[in-house]
Amino acid sequence: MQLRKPRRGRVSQALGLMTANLLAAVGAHAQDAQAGSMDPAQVASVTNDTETDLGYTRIDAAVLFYQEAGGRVRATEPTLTATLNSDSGDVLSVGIVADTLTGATPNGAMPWKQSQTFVTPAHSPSTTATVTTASGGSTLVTVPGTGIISRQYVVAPNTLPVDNGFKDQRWGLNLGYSTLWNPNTRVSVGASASNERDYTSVSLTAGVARSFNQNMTTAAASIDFEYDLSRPFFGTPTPFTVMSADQKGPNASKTVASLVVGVTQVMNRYWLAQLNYSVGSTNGYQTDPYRILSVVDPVSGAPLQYLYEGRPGSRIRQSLYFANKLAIGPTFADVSARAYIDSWGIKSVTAEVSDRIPLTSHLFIEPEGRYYTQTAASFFRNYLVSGQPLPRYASSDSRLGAFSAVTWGVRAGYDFTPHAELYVQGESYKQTGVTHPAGAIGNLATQNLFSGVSATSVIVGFSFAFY
Amino acid sequence: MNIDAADGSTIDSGRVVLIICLLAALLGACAHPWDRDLLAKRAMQLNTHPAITAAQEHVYFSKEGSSGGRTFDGGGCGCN
Amino acid sequence: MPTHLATPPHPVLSAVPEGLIYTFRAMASPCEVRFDSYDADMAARLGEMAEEEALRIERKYSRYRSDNLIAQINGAGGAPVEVDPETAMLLDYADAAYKLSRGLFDITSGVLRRIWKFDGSDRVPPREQVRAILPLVGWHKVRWRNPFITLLPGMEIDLGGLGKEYAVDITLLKLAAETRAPLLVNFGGDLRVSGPRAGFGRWRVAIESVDEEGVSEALLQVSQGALTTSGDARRFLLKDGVRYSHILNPRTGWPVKDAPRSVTVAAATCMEAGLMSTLAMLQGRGAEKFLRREGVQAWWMR
Repeated sequence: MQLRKPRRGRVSQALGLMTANLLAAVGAHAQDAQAGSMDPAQVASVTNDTETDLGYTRIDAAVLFYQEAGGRVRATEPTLTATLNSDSGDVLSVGIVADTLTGATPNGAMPWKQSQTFVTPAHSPSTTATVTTASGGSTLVTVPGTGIISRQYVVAPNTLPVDNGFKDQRWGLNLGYSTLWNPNTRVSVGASASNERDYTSVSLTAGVARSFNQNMTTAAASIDFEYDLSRPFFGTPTPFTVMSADQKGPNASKTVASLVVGVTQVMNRYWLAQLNYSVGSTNGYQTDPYRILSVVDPVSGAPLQYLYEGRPGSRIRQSLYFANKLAIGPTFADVSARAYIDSWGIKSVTAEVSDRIPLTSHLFIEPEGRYYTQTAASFFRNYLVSGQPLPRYASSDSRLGAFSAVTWGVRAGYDFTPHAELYVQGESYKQTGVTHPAGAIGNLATQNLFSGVSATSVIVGFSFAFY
Repeated sequence: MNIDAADGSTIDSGRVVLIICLLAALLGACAHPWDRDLLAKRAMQLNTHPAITAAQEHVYFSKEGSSGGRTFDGGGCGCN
Repeated sequence: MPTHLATPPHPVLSAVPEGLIYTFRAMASPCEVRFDSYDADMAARLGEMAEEEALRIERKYSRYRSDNLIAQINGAGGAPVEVDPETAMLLDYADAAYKLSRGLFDITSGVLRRIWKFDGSDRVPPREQVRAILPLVGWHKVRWRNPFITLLPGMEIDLGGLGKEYAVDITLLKLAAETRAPLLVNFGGDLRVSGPRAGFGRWRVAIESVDEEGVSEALLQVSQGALTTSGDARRFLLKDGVRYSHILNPRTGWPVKDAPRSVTVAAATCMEAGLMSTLAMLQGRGAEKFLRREGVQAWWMR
């Protein structure tokens, strides 16, 4: 966040305000008096910083289309944000987001040379269901003699086990307010809530940013507190119990407390830099309730049973983020890097570069690239081996394994007026990891054990401001 | 004749202004209010398209083991 | 880019390596609009627009004319005069500036020029003469109830201290609404730019020497906002070794002592810059202190 209220004296400040008012008002009057005058918006855009939306209301509407390769997750995510800026620097923003998710998600088991059948509780247990029905490639079956309705799905030989039964809808709401505490200090508060069929999250944020050194330097700190409630469709399974059709335990929750401190510095006319340190502590239920692990035969690698995964209840994340904005000739480049470490043993490095190139005075194009690489969490296992003692925690989630990811994308924007822009961005994202880890047991050595994703996405949006 | 700038520095001519600025630019300490033309541009902001940034961060958050840095660790979804 | 211009007898559009310049005369000063573009049709059209606007404001607010609103107000002999909304806003502005400056900026101070003629001579008026004219100075004696203004008989208002800067701002805003080409509007040394030049280059502006015409004291680079200069360039009285600057204190009727020879101020708009440079001069010896305290970007010459 950058503050741009200069520290000025009484006379100069009052004069600035008086003059802006006069010129804006005369602009309006000159219009009745004669043709060819400017509207007040033109006055404001010339008299004020082009960056600030001071006095304007901005609407930003966008839709994200996201599709993973191999028929996995497909998502459509519309968002709408309204930002109201008062003339005195107060900013109120309201954002809503909706999400529709369909498709298949890896269930955590390893592929095998024969077909595998998975039995899980039905998402919506019904006492009246006595017939079998097809649903998302799976079958609802009443377990004989119990009245428990289970959902079964079969995964073909030599393919990554995925569960097709995932459909979810999410909505989210964000509120934010910030105001100038004094000419050099901005305070902000925010709240957000989101809800899915099986997950609810609420959070509160507060921050302060202070500029000094003639606005060349801005120091900012903010804290965030989040509470999440996980409500799995069939209850919360106990880690390392066998996957079954039984209903599971009660809902589980977690809390996240985070702190970000940062400095934004105007290095010179062409270079703006930001350095952030963030630390966050998550406590509570962080396991994926739907995810399982194959327990394999120590010789052949054949799956013998499937156990629910388990993750530690505490996680501390730290990251250092360095971002730069550079004006290079007529172009504007973003160059950023992040180093991350957490108490689960994941270390990662991210580098991101993009360059905004004006094609005409109204149109720009911005190619972008990103590289990401991470080490595995200490409890990451592709599978468990039968006969060996159970680890305390284990997960085969590819997000906790070692992999690298490359993103290529391009963004373009067209501004119809100084206050209205249509933008679009297309992106391709590909994770690569170890497909055939050394020491894979038996036939698993011939299987592709990496379940990372490849995805393409397109986002289209329109942003405009009015007085 | 010297011309004194309000910030207390003494300069002799426009040419010198330029040189001082170039030197100070390297030290990161010279941007007059009217030098903010570039910095004031929307394209020069650290987050030009918040909706795109939010979408990207949401995807990365749900597909990678790390999160946060630019702002909060974030989340608010069950995708872990 | 020199701010001093050869004065053309009639409007001229000329091409220079940096773009096109439209020059004309208005408000007793050489005026120019610089375009960072080679679109001559556009430059000619906008140049004419600028000239028209400058002449409109001059016609409307010049105190040297007998056929305008200012003449009507000044000649009303104590009767109220109704003004149009544009003038009303300028009067409101002048009223606010008077209060803000604690009486130093006063649009009724023009009558002092009846006795003070700054022609480089030693004709300093006698004290009694100054004392005699002071009752005709003071904005607080004016009855201003929008849209009616009433002066005491013999009083005069002069919007000359605002008019040129106002003309620059309004003209720039008008032209900038018509084109995306970077512009510089300069009316007799009061100037404002629409933004940086193409390719984010800066406009180069010279501050003219107070002593020698055509000699520049400093070269500034402007990419946003306005620059104005107040100074006593060749306008002063010299008597018994005392230099009387042409900046008059409306509260005393006497020239301000120890004012800088010139002050150049940068601000977002020409009106702000102009008022700040005038107020700085009015502080006399305290000009620099005032500018520092106000946190404005400024250059001065002693």
